[in-house]
Amino acid sequence: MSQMRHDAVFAGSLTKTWRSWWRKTEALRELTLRIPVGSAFGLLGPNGAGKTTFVKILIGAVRATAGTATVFGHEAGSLAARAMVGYVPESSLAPLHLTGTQLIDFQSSLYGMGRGERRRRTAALLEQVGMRQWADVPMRQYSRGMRQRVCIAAALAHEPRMLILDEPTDGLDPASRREILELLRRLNRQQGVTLLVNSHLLHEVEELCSEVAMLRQGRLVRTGSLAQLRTQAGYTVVLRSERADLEALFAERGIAALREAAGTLRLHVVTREELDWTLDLARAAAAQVEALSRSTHSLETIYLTETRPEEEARR
Amino acid sequence: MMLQLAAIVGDTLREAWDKKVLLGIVLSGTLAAALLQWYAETVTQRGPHTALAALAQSDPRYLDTAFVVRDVLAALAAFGMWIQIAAAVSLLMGLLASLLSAERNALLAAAPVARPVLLVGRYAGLLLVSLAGIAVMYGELWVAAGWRFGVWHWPFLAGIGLTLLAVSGTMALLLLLQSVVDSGAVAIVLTTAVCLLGVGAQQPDRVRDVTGSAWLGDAAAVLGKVLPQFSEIGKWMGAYIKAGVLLDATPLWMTGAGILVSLGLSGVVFARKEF
Repeated sequence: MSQMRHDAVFAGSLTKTWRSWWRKTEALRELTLRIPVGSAFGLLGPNGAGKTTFVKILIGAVRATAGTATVFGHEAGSLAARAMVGYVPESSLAPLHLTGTQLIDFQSSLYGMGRGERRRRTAALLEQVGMRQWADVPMRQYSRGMRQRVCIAAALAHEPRMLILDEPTDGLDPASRREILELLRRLNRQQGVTLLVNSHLLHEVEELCSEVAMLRQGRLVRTGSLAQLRTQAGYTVVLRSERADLEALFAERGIAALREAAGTLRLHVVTREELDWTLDLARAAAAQVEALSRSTHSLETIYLTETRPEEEARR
Repeated sequence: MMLQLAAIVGDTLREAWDKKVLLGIVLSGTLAAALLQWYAETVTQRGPHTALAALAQSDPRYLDTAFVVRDVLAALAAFGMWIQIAAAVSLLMGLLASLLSAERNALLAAAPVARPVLLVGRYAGLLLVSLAGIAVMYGELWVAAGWRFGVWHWPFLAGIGLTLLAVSGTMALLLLLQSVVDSGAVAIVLTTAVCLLGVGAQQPDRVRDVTGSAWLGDAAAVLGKVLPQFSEIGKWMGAYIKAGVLLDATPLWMTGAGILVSLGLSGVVFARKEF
């Protein structure tokens, strides 16, 4: 329990099974995870990995089938837990009929703030996200980046201790993306707001987060600080071959391969044994070894290795 | 909690305004008022074989303008109630489905708002939207009758409250079915079916005559007590507007109880829902 007090989020053996008349789907399987207070935490995984289900359990939209989840020591989904969290959905879900002022005012009302406080807070938040001059314009006239900034401001209305963000920069142009990431970094570093970023955009997580967790088919497959993950040993092999099916050949054996340019393939393997049979396979396929080095992992290679489908990983 | 409730009602009204549903409801109220006036005038006043001429032959009170206006207004009020029920279901269903969509609810579920408050807020907002159409229709009919015949018959305005009661019953049923089946189309069909069944069940003797089955007649009698009693509300309203007579208020109380039960069940279903 005392440990849970130091966690923004604690999930213990969290399981969620979706049941319909004819099908049972396990969205989360015994997920155990800690998110420290004040961290910027990235939740990674391919579609269907269980990221959204996990987030929805935290905000109280979905109930866990088994296990526990707490938010700052309060049961996830309870009124006390929800009062400490601000949720920023994808920008496409923003209520476009409202103006920026109306959205923040509405959100503040849901947290029980009085009129005077709402007015003061709305002005301050719009200023903070650089949207003051657009305050009374309907959100349907905003760009996606502007909508996202206003949604973040609305989620901050009640001064939450944690922000949960769903794909915060998905679909944004580079300038808007930079602004949003900068805003989130400021919130995390200057105001101590814990961030939980649910994303499949690796560069976004890499730029913003200090810790990550990777989910695959509802299970936690890797968690830790980015620095830790990157320094874990591995090997990078660069092959040159004109064979178009080479990538699939390695994928069949569970080796993550990235096509970099025509004829060049970058592979990442973790163990010495994997390296040996990767090289054997390359020779058998008449591919040339362009480079071989011990590597620190990029998040991308870790992601590709850890989130490959189970049946591939078993091969 | 009241602040949260007010915020959700306000959000519902704002969306109804933005999606032009409010405008649609007000226009439908105006259109209904115009149609009812045209109907009343055609049926009661034009030509030697009108209903009014026929009635005046057997009942001299039909020569008195004030009596005729009260009689016509009573008929229009009951007819108007059904128009408003149909308008509320058809015009508000899309809005209700949008307001209760999973994405929308997931966003609101993140705030510390009790789910029943969310549901009641949406319901109250939709009723206010309906009220706009109802008030416009009854108001226009009342003004038209007063302007034209100099008969400012105040009891007619009670139709606003009674029609709102009937619409509230329909919307509560719609809300319950929408919460259970998660489909606007299915919810509309089922609501319509229940309302029609309710009308049929109010006449168990006719059911017995038509089907020749005593058992079905008895079943209709039982169902008639629990299903929406809108036709009875119509009769109640007609008697009050026409003659100031207060009939047995059981249909009104039963409708109120039905609304509470439907809302309670919706609240239970909604509280257990996952978005």
